[in-house]
Formats: sequence, structure tokens, C-alpha cells
Amino acid sequence: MAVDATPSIADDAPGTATSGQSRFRRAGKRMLRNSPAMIALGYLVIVGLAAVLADAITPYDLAVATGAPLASPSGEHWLGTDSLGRDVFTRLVYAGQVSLRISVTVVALAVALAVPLGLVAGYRGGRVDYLMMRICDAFASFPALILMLAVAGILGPEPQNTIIALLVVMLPGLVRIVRGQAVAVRAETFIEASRSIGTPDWVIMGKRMLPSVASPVIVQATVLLGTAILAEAGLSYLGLGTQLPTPSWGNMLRESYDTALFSDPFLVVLPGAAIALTVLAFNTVGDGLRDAFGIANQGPKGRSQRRGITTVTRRKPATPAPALATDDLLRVEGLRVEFDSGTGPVTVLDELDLTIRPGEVLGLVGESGCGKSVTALAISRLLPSPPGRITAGRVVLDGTDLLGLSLTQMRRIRGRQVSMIFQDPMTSLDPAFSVAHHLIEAQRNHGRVDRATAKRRAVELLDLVGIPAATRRMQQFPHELSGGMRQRVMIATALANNPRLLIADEPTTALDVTVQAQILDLLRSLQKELQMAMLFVTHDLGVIADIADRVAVMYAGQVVEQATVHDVFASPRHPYTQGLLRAMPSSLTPPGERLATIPGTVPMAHAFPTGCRFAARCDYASDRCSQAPVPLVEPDGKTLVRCVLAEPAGPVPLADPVPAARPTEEAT
Amino acid sequence: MPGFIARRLLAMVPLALIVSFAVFMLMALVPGDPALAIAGQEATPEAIEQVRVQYHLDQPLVVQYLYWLRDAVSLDLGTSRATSQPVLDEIVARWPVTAGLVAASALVAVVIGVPIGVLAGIRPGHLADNSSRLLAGIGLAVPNFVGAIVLVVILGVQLRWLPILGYAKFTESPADWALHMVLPAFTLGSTLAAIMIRQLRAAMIDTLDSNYVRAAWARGGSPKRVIGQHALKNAAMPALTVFGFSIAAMIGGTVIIEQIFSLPGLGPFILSAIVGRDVPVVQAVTLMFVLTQLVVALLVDLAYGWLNPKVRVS
Repeated sequence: MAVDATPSIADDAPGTATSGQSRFRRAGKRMLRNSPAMIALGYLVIVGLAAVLADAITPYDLAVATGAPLASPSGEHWLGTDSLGRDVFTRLVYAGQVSLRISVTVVALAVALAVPLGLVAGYRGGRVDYLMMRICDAFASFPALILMLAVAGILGPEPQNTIIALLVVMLPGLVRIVRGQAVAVRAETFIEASRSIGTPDWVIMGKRMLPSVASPVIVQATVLLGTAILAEAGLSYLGLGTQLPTPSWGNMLRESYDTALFSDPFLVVLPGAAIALTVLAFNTVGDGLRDAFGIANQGPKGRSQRRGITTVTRRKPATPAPALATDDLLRVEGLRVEFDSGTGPVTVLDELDLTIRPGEVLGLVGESGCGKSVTALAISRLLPSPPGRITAGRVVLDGTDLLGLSLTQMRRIRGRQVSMIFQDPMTSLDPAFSVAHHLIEAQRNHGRVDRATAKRRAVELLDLVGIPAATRRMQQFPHELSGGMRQRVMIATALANNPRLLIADEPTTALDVTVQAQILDLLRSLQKELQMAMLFVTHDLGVIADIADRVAVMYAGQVVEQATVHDVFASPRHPYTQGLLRAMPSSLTPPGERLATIPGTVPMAHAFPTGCRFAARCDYASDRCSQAPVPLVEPDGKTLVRCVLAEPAGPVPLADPVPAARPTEEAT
Repeated sequence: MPGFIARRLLAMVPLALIVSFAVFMLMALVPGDPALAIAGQEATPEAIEQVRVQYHLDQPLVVQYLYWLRDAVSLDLGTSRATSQPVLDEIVARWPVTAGLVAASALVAVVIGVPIGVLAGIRPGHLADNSSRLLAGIGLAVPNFVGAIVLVVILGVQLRWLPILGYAKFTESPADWALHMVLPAFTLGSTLAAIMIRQLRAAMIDTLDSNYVRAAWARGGSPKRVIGQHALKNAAMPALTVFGFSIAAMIGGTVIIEQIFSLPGLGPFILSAIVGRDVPVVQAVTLMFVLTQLVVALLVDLAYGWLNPKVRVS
């Protein structure tokens, strides 16, 4: 879920382009912390050493009976003897040697063949790629095991034939993986850049692409080693692989199954366990490597997820809501939101106060990463927990503190009293359901409505949001609609139950400029028509001027200024607001003059300074700014502002006044 | 829809041709004189020559293949060189056993894998999730035949709860059939169950984090509706794709399982044919496996189209 102001833990972000060396070193460190993977690796090292040193560590001859048949484990025969009186431990170690030798050879060959083939297919594309992929498809349409049996059966049971049979089965999949990775890397700009300066193809493939392909190949090779062990054991079990008297885990299993199933099941279990443990170990190490390289995110581990509602853990019990003196619809008081990060909780929203009166539009504005969307989601308690958590404050809607509600209580508010529309209409409608389903569901979430009535209302809603041919659109699916249409459908679902408050989280940001204006017009006219209050989140001051009655300016997780649209545009108090206004293109900017910018960027949530958070970018900053947190004050009875220059009462000095921006008429 | 199915069935024809030709060529690599193999070691040169002509072995390979193809089109798949029985008869008798095993195993995989995978995905990190991950890890690591043998040792040999070997026809006694299918279907289905657990868990975690699920919560949806409808239907799509691939792999896995449990399916048939270089049998049974796999793939695609409106065929 895209939430801005998520604490960035840059060094843990998967897929960031860093040098190969440090990436491998970091993966190694992460691997060391993964105890299951390390245990599995330890087991594999022991098995590997035993196989290599088989002659030295085995006490008996492989093929000679050295004890009574089917003897139990003893000091002489650590794992007992088989039906012919041969030492089981000795046979197991030698069998491991055979199985591992074949598996390692197969995987080494597969990697050696698949990497160049996949790189060339992915890098060249076109006909070479097409041909190779069709060949892979042809192999894939064959039941792998049958293919392997056929090859092994026809070529005969020599080890090299087993290797060929396994290779035939494994190679296509590996080529496909390398090729997929190569295609992805090829699209990166650094490859394009290398090509454009005329770097030879083989250098690009060998030096630039190979490191990116390496980690998935290492992971896959590890898993394939397990698969090879399994396949070799299967072939040997069926009598098509390693032949007796040479032992392999597969044929030992077969032999004991045939001779000792009833008399000594332990003998059957031993080779079975050897196979299963080794495969499990390879898979575990493979999973560990995958996590260490950050290839597949397995999702949060070690803690359970609370679905559908943000967790509230207020340290101090909230004081009971005072009787509302005002006619406010929504009061947000002292809201604090924290995110769990690898290094501990990070506060991303702090001391956030907002008020919205019925029928009023409050614009929430600020740069990316200021916490605007987090605010919007926290109010409806839609921030996912973990990592998000509300740790202080109150969100009072009509006298009810939403932060005290259960999911069941909260869901009666959502979509009925408080509706939301989101930034990305392309992904906010469920691709698997029709428009009609979305609209009918929105109504049925809040009480029994019979299908016919719900359908009629759905058509009405589509008409309301200006979708032509509503009846036909009802049957369509999200992928058949344009972005603007989808946002209209989102609005229609949000309006289904005549909500008193609509939270619009950057509803036009992802749309074309012309469509933006249409959606904005629609929202404005609907808001007037339905007398609905609105919290409008945007980073575009022009849009604010267009639609809002009042504005709250956010910076680094705090509100720094709150006033009416007129006051904010006519006499901005906070240096940040002034900067934003100066950075806004305007018809009054003389032609040819450069647009002002605010130097620097919003600080990361884990690095918020104690004092004024804007000080580092502020022209007026002095020592006073960084000493202590700056409170939100009301110097003139009209504007709330968080700036040391605003206290005691008195206007913030303005070096060069901002041209008064036009209020409502102009379209964006 | 019927047009789509017809097109897909038609597309199987060239693939079946390629596969059968490939197998035919592969079998031609078998060292030794096939005529001698058929006629027997003690046959006179005249008898061998007669066999050679009778089986068109004196013709070029491509012509031999065309002879086979001509007969195959009229459903004559030749006679087994080992038993001299028509191959088609054997396949008709044995295919239902294998198909039944595949169906039973798929059922086991769905019944075990789907609920566990979904629950694990809803609450990652929870106790149920951690134990399911362990279970899936073991299910993937323990080879079918090892699992089979462990089950045989415990349930069949030690506890004597279930029959270890043999088969009863479904049409004669469904209960007996089911009893004989429990062990094979569990061993064959456990791998797929493990795959389903992993897939569904990952897919549920992804979809539950998606924007459309957040929007469904924002509309005031109940957990039943948001998780059970929106998240589950979307998570089912990738899981179904993998299910399709894995069923294909499972069809191959029947060979070993049928061998272990002495089920009279296609597995032991093709195994003995491979060892005995019985070309017509290998040829026909391989083709049968490939066709079964293609039909399963078609069914999976149809189900996928039902789930995913983007690929739904009009």
C-alpha cells in the first residue's frame, strides 16, 4: 500500500542499485542472522564433507558383509546392518557421495548452459528470444518426469545418462529465469547508457548484466540442487538411475523397501530421511538466500497482522471528549502516528490538529512525504497495522471518538458517514468485479437493500457522477474504463450512502491534466449539491484555491499553518507557506523569470529535528528555531501558525510579499 | 466460448504431432535391432526379416512414423511388442486408474492447501502461519515416494488401518476405491498441497495490501466481504495458474506412486515398456500423458477466465 512518509530504511530496500560487492556482503550478513538457514547450511556442509571424505570416515568396506544380517545399531555398526549384513552407515555415506556428485554436476552444467543462453535471449530479444522461449515451452508441455524416465530409460542407466536426463528437465526452467531477469535488467537506464556509448555486447552482458542475474541464479541453483537429489533418487528408486551394487539413496530405499519393509522398517526410513533432510536443507538455504538478497518479500514475519483497522495504543487514556462547543463535524486533536521500522518506532505524524465544519472543504496541502495521506488514512483508521500505529490523540466525528471504536463499529462509519476516494483510480477498483458489483456492494455494506433497488440506485449514482450510458457501464469491468471513468466510479461508490464527510486523497494526481479539471469540477459541484464536508488532500495549491474553504499546510508530519483560503493566499504567515506560494506558477509571474523553489527536501521521519522542522530550509532561521518544539499559535485570531517569529502576537515579517493569488474562478 | 474451446482443442493437434514425432525419434536412438527384439533371440533370420517387413522396420524412420500416424488417426495405436495386446485396450483399461488418482490427489491438495494457505496469508506471523510454513516446507522436501513409504510403514504396516497395495474399481465399489486411494492420493497430493499453501499465503498477503482491498475497507465492507470476496478472488488467480502447472507435474508423478502402491494405471505400463524398449507402448502412453496434461491446462485456463475478467473470452 502506498503511503507517503513511510519511514525509509534505505539500506534495507530490496532492489536498490548498489555495487555488487556490498550487496553480496550485506546478503551474507543477513544470511548469518537467519538461524534456520544457517542450521541447514551446517547440515549440508557435514553431508558434503562426509561425501568427500567417505573413504576416510567409513569403518567398513562398502560391499562386504561385516556383521549379522539386519543387526540393530551398535558400537560396531552405528546404524546397524542391512539384509546382507553390510554396514548401513558406510553405505549411506557412499550413497550420499554418489547422489551429491550427480546433483552437483547436473546443476553446475545447468547453470553454465542456462546463464549464457538466458542472457543472450533476454538481451538480444527478437527472433533469438522467440525461438529459445518456444523451445522451452515445448519442453514444458511435456510431463517432466515422463521425459526424464524416457531419456534415462532409453539411454541406459550410466551416471552420465542420468545427468543428461536431469539436465533436459531442468535446463528450460533455468534459462527462463535468467532470461526474465535479463529482460528486466535490460530496461534499466545504465544498460541503455552503456549501449549508447558503444560498449560491446559481450561486455554489457558479462560485466553489467551478469551481477544482476547472479543472485536469482544462486537462489535457483540451490533449490535445483534439492530437486536434483530428489530426481536422482526417484530414477534410482525406479531402477533407471544408479544401479546396484553402487549404492545411492534412491536405490538403497528401493532395496530396503523390497527386502526389509516388514522385518526392519528402520532401514527404509534411513535413506528416506537422508533424501528428505537434504532436500529440505537445500530448500531452506535457498529460501534464506532469497530473503537475504531481498528477491521475494515474504511479508512481515514474526508478528500477526491486524486486518482492516489501524491499531490504537494511546499511552495516556484519552480524556473524555468535552461537550462540543462548536458545530464542528470532525475534530482531530493531537493525533500522533508511529511506524514500526527495523530500528524502532518512528513518529511520522505529531500533534496534528484539524477541524472541519459540516459542508466545509478543508484543503490539506504540503510536499510529498509530509504526512498528508497518512493523516487521511489515520482518520478513517485505514493505515495498515503493522507498521502503522496511532499512539496519541483523538479523532472526534460528531461527538464520537473514532479511535475508540472496534472494526465492527468503525465499518458502520466508513462508507456511510465518512467516505474516501484515493489517488490511484487504476488500482483502487477491484479488477475482478464489475462496476455494478462495486456500487451495489457499497449500499449493501450498510443494511439490507434488495437487488433491484440497489441496481436502480447504482444507475442513479453513475448518472450523478456524469457517466454516460450508465446501464451499459454497469456491466463493465475496471480494465475496460479510462482513468477518469474509474475515478468517477470511485466517487459514485463513495457517495452511495450520502456521507457527511468525503476524504479525497489526491484524487486528481494520477490523472491527465484535462481529466483533472473535469474531476475537480465534478467534486466541487457534488460537494455543493450534496452539502457534504470534504477533506481534500493535494500538493497542488492551485487546486486548493479552486476548491477549499480553509487550508491546513503540513510540513514534516505537523500542521504549520491553518487558515481560510483567502488568508493563506493573501497573507501567508509561515515561511514554508510563503515558499510554497512563491513556487507556484502564476499569471503575475513576469515572463522569463525563474520560478522560485524551496531549497532542500523534507527530512526523513526518523531524522525530524527537535525544534522547528523547517529551520534547515528557512530563510529566517535563527538559533531560537532549533531549541525546542515550536507550538501552534494563533497570533491574530485568524491564522494558526507554527513559527517562532509568530510569537508573541504579531505578523511574521515578509521579505518580499507574495502576489495575492486569485481565489476561486480560474480553473487549473 | 465453444469457439474458444474448439480453437484450443485444435491447437493441441500440432503439439501432439511434435511430441509423438519426438518420442518416435527418441525411441529410434535405442541401441540394438528392434526386429530382433520383437522376434526373439532364437528367431531364424527369415523370421526376423518377416518381422522387419511386417512392422515396416525396413523403411526410413519418417515413413515408419507416418505409418504409425496413419494407424493412430484411426485409433489403432499398434500392439505391445511385449504382450502382443492392442495398446489401445490397455490404455482404455488403465487410464481411468491414473485419472482417478490425479483427481483424488488434486482434491486432497485443495482440501488441505486452500484453507491453510488462506488462513496463513490473513495472519502472517501467527502461530497457524508458522506451523503451516513448516508443514509446507516438509511437504515440498519429502519426495513423494519417501512420503509414500513412511505412510505405508506407519498406517499400513504398523497400524494396519489402510490397504497398502492394490486397487478396486470405482464403478464396482466406490468405498473400496476410496479406501485404496487414501494413501496414494495423500502422498501424491501432499506436494501440491504444500505448493498451494505457499502460493495462496503469498497471494493473500499481496492482495490484502492492495489498493482495492483498502478501498473495500473504506466502503465499510465486513471482513467476510473484504477478505472472503475481494482478496480471495484475486489471490485465487496466481494460485490457480500454479495449480495448473503443478497438476501437470503431478500427472508425471503418478508413475512412481502407481509403482509403489501397485495400482494398475498407466505408470507401471510405461515403466515396463521403457525398460523393455516397447516402442508402441511408450509412444502411445507418452502421448496420452501429454494430452491429459493439455486438457487439464485447458480446464485451468477456463477456470482462470471465469476468475479474471481481463482474459475472459467473449
